[in-house]
Amino acid sequence: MFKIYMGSILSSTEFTKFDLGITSDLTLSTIGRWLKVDNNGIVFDDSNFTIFQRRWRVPVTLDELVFETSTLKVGALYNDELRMRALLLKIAEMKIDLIVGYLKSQSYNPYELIASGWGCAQTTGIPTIIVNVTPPNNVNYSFFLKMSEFNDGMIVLSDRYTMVNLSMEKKEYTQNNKGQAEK
Amino acid sequence: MIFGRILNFFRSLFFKKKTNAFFNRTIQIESNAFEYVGVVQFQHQNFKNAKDFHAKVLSNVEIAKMEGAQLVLFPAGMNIELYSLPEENLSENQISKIEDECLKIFSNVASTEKIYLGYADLVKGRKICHLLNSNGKLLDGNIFTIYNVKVAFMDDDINEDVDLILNPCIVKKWIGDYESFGHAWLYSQQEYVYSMESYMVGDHFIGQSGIYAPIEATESMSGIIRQAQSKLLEEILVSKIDFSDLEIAKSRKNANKSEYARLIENK
Repeated sequence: MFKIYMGSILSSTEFTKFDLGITSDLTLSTIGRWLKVDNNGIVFDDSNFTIFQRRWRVPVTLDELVFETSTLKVGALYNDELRMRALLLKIAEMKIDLIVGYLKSQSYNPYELIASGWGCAQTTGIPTIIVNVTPPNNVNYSFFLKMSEFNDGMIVLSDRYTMVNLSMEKKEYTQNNKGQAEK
Repeated sequence: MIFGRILNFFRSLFFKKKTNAFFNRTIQIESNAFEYVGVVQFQHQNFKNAKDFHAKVLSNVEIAKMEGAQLVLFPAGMNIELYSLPEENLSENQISKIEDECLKIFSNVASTEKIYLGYADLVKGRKICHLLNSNGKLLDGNIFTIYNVKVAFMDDDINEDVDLILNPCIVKKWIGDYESFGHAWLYSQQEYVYSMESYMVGDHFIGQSGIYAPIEATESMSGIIRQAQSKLLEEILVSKIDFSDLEIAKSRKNANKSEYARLIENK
């Protein structure tokens, strides 16, 4: 079971600040404790582990899109790549556990999030996080799964901060606020 | 001479305009322009005979044509409408005869109404798509050209750029509202094409038909041009589409196209 923190969750007892954090039951911090964006690309910077950078360019090989940790294989996609059907179908063959998509938009558009994030999850079958940046410097997070008999794949459309639990084997999820509502 | 000019004036009106008395409006159709498409969300019925089925198809097409449709898409499973028994109780020969009967009906309607028609049969769970031209002729191949617009069915292997995708469907389960984004709409977003999706509804069939575009080609930025209101009832959707609107959207697809093609090819 993985916990994915998106945004700065001040109520989290485990950490005081997250931009994008993914933890597992076994390790306190696995990857992407801080997701940074700079002139060269996006960086998953975890001070305890390796630093992965995806540059702002068309990759030379597909391996350039992927980084592995001890527990996860993550694909990083930018903007239009999230809607490239042929590329997504190729990525679906690569046994990736999670896709993190960076999407820069002119303004908030739920249909663009569905096309890029939900659509990516449907095409690849891989859970997909979208980091959506809109002017001036707003960042919102989305989380999508492949549609199944039990869910429509729309877990988080757009939130400034949220947390989801994800079981990689069964692709089950619970969301923190949904859990609270049930209590 | 004056009489001749008046006659020519009325002739030009007759050939350039089609008056829709039922909807009390006039729709301009240029002879060489492909602008209006229609989708029939078809109500499943057990037709007692081919004549009733023919009348129903004709009636749907007439309504779509009154709104200006030049191409009308019906759902998958049209042959099922003519089954007198469940498919498993029919012989290969009977199934084949019903397919032929269905094709004859669509061919007749297409030539009578001078309209392009698309639909699909469903045989042992496999969709068999058909596109008929306005003379009722069944078109061969995977890519079809209608008024200079390249058209293809979504299930086929499409190796070249097309402008319009047809997706005749038949399903018994619908997961949620987002499912309507999961097929033709999503294909429009990923391939930057217009798309038409038609579902069989009623009885145990469900679906939400629609006419879609890349979000960048719609004013609302939703990618939805028309969509059925109901998932269970018959509806006929007709809309004007402007293929020049696709150009801006396609420029996104074509950016770095060769570099990404090489990336996908290499692995």
